[in-house]
Amino acid sequence: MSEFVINTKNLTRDYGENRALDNVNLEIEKGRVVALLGPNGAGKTTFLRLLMGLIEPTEGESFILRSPSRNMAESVVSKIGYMGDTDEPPRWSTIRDLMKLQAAVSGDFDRDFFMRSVEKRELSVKRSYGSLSKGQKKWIRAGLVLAGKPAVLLLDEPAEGLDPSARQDLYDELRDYVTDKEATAIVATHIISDIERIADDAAVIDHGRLITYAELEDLREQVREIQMSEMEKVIDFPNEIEILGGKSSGGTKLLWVRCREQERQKLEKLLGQKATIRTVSLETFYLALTEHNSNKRDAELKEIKK
Amino acid sequence: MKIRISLLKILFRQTLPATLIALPVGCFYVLLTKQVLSWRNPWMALFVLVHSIAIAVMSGRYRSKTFAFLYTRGFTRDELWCNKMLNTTFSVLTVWLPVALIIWLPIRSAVQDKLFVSPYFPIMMMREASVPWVWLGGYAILLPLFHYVWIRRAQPLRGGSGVILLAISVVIVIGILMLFRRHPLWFRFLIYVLSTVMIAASLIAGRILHRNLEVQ
Amino acid sequence: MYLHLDYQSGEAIYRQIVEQIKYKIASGELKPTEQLPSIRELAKMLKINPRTVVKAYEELQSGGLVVRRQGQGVFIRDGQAAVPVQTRNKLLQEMARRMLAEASRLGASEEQVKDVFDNVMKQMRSGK
Repeated sequence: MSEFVINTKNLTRDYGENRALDNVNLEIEKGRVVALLGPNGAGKTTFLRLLMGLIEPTEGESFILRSPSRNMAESVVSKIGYMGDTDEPPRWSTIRDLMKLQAAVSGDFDRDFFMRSVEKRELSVKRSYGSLSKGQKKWIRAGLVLAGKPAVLLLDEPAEGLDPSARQDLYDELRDYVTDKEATAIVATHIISDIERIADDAAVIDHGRLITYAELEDLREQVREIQMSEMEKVIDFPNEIEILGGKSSGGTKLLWVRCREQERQKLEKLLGQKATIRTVSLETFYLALTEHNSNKRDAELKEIKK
Repeated sequence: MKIRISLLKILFRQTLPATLIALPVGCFYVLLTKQVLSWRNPWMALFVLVHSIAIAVMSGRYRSKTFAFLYTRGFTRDELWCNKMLNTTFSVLTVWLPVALIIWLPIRSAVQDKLFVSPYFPIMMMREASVPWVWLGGYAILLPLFHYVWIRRAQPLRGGSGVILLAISVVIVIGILMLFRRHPLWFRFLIYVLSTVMIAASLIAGRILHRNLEVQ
Repeated sequence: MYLHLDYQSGEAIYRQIVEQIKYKIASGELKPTEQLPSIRELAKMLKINPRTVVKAYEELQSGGLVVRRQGQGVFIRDGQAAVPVQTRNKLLQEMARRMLAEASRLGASEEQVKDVFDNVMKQMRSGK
């Protein structure tokens, strides 16, 4: 446990009858950028709030730097950079006020870094927060968080509302920061194309459950798309091959599978000329995982495999 | 536990509307009232009550975006609590001190003498000197209690100490009402002790509850 | 050293790095004994985790294309026959397999693939 910066045990949270997060177990090592993926309402925000200790878990527990989320040590709280989706500075506070506030908490606040990021958007520190555009607000808040030099970053849709080039800037800054400081970050988003460049791992949450947690490099190596004619009868897949999803349209079947290299070679022999196996972008993989809920997916797969 | 000027500034700004309204209302009332003020004056009691509620409500909008922001900067909960209490003190003093000074300096009796030709003005200073302290006592009892109540309101699932606090406060209120009739010194003393216990209990209970507060 | 990473392809990033460096060595853009960027430099340049760069450099090292000198960095290996025969055959097989699979997906016959292959080889031999 000690080597993990973040870990959770059976983390669960109910809102009334609704289970927002269901039994999540996750261990994150130092120096990683984890993309927390999932459709809106999947439980990403609940997960981050629980980690930050803002809300009480219904069951289970979570730790950041070995300190329990709901009773965090002073030395740990000030090392977390958090950017949620509901928290916002008061409208009347100026950028300078916010800088001073953050500098009061974070021991060695990087003023130069913050000023550079303010100037990058051609803003003045005298501007009030309320007068900024949605994208500028996000930018300022992200700048505050990074300038505070946190060891752990918990970011909920940090790039939402930014234009594409600012989004890239933001994620590039984040990557540089994590590489330089050996920090650890969880970034919740539902847009995979933004984050996949800079993230190391993907944690996919759907309906409150953690359905995948893997290194992106492993996924790139292991996930494949199989395309074959609808007429083709498919042999039983070996058990080691995990079937993620499938789709059937216009006379062709598409199957997404995840397997190791040796199994893929077996699979290639098994399918021979009847099908093509090719690499798949993470976006396709993610859609295959979340597009259908699990029951529907199983039913469809049976249909396709028949 | 540190005093954070930048945090206090934001907290003070949150309660500023209450301060800005209470300050002129309090000052003008004290300047213009013709009768001799006693601590039984119902209008000033109401003033203290409403002002206290306003401060508690304005500094306790725990579901607002600003709170979520302040609570995720890296301050500990206790740190936030202490600064909140400190801001409460400042906000009260900002109103109370000018009002008290008007009585003490004595601006009030001068104004009453010159402007309203009040026959009471020679005795005003003497009779009213202790009255601001009673008001301050009112704030001291009410604010910790209201803060506590407001935190509980944001956190309906937790804590059972509310019943005890409520019981003590009922006893105090009854006690204060009974003070209207002249009672022996020991009874007064008992009420003072009870009030102190009550203030301490609300502050401690509030602080503990505040640690577990759910921020939306 | 410029590397282009394609995130749409689905190919593992470390593999893309390995292949591009191999290509640069083959094409002469990277000369023997030339120093490669440090792990940290390359990671920051490509905006990726340093561990991915480590993985790529290790792969290149085990393939005999680069050498790591303690405290100095990673260098392109001196000498042409750096790649052991076994490794080379394995790599060639893998490339051929990938090409054939893709060709059959495009509907090309084995003969057509051979023809194209021969033509390309002739072109390259005749210089460009």
